[in-house]
Amino acid sequence: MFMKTSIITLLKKEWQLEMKNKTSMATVLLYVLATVFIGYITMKRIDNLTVWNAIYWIILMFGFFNAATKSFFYENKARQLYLYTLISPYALIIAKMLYSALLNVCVALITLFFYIFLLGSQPLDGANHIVFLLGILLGSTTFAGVLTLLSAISAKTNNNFGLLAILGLPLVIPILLTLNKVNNIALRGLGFDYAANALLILLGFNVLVVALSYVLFPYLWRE
Amino acid sequence: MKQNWWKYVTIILLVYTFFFSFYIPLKPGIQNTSTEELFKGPNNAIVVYGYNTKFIQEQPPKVFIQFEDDTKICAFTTTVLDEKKIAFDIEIPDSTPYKLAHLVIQYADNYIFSPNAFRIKGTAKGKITSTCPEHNSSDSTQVVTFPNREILNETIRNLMFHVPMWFVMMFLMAISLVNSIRFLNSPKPIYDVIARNAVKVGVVFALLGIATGSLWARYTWGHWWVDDTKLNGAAITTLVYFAYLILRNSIQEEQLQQKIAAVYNIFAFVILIVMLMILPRMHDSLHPGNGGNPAFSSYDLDNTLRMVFYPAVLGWIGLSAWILNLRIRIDKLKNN
Amino acid sequence: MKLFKYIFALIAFALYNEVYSQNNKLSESMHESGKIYVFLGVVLIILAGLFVYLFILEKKIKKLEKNK
Repeated sequence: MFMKTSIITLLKKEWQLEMKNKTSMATVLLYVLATVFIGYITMKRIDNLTVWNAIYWIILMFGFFNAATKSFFYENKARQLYLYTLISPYALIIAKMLYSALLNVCVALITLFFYIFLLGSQPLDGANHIVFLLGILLGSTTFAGVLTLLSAISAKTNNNFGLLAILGLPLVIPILLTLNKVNNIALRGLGFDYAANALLILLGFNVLVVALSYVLFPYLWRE
Repeated sequence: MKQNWWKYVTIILLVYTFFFSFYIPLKPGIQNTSTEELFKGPNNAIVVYGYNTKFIQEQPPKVFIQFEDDTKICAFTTTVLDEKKIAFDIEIPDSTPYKLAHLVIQYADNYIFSPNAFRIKGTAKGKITSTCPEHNSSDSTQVVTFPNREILNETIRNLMFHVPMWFVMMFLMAISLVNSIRFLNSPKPIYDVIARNAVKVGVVFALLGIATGSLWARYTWGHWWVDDTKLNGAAITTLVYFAYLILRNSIQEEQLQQKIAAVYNIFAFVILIVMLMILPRMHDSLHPGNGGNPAFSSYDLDNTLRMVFYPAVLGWIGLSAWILNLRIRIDKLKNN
Repeated sequence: MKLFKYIFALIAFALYNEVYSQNNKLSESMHESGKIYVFLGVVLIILAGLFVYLFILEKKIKKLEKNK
């Protein structure tokens, strides 16, 4: 019960912080939009399914990395000490992961909107929209799960973004491969049955990552 | 002496591995044929080049082709040109409905086989009957040999060198993982020293695995690197451990460095293991040992290979443990 | 230093062979006789790699000994 309330409080705190300086969401969105625009300038409209999908996920991936860098950036020493005395690390990591999952889903959907707006929605015409959205949902949350703990790790060093990329990129390649499979199935208009296997893998992966972060985060936090 | 017995075992195992993986010959096989096309009618004169064969005129080999449903057609003349060369003539009936034929040569006690060696020109819808007496198709080779497989040929010996590199890497990474977990439970510096050095040695073996694999790929698939799940998995794993080493270097404070490195090590290893176990099952792989490839799929390891392969794996693991042991001792000296 | 020169020359030769001709001697010998030379290459890479690694280790130990 205590855990639940503290998670909710922490989520509120994150949201208030977000509203107060509006930087983290704004930077990520600006970053992603600029990349989409560069995509538009260099490629105009994309009709090829595979290319459309690949570029969308590459843009998103860097957006997620950017978002993850911020997730422990604002925790300065004093606030960290304050939080440390107040709440358990378990509540904190769950709250951080939830918040960053929500943020990632928002970023993914907003990016999708601008991506369609600029680069065309031709590939989505014959697609299975439910599977496609499910892929985005699961993909964004999995990214959030993996990157939150890594961001906590890289926040302990002085080279924040560079290190996060080095630590995270090899680990997200398998996720991207699975996502790619899901999206290719979705964009070809094939049903849920074909994608079920890959979606289950993503889900299982999500659970695994959350469990691992939950177990390992206290060791980082105690420092 | 008593503590070091495993080092002597390692030496013996590796000498055994090197000796037998060079010494044991490959089973006789068919290297190539003068043509890959057969025409309807009697005008098919073909020369076959054998590999490691000893054809002799006094005991002429039986040459026949075999279709997918075991129908056989024998060659009507067979001449032995030399130990490694046979010429034969064969007649293909006009009513042959098949597209592909296997080539089989039976000589002395050997039974050598080249799957889908020939394409048959022209189509027909008919039936043919075997023109050969039934052959005993069991392979009764007495000599100890390595199997001669398509694509692999002599490089089947890589099983004793390239493959154990990955076994060694997994072994070292597992050691590193165990010690990272122990370190988080009770932060003694020794656990961290073991974990760090295991990764450092493991990366060396991973690089050797990649280098040897890519040399093989260059002369088998034509490129130094091909898009394949196993290769990608290997590359990702190596990258993760390089990231681990970079992470260590980027934190100055020693205690923090040890703790964070342990956390990353556990996180990365578990994710990798899960992904590398699941992903290859979702995609086909060209790599030997996977479905859809004539290398190991239908045959699996045979007994001769096993007799050299298992000692080889143990030997290489022993060698890696030895190097790890030296590194740990150096590190201990450094800290004193 | 001389040894390094020879090794570099050897690598350069191999690269030259690799780049400039498709049906060169090296390439041919790698394919013929059941690719036994590929196997030889694999064994040599492993041995060379391990020896280089041991040399690096040796250097580290020497440094350590000097500092003591």
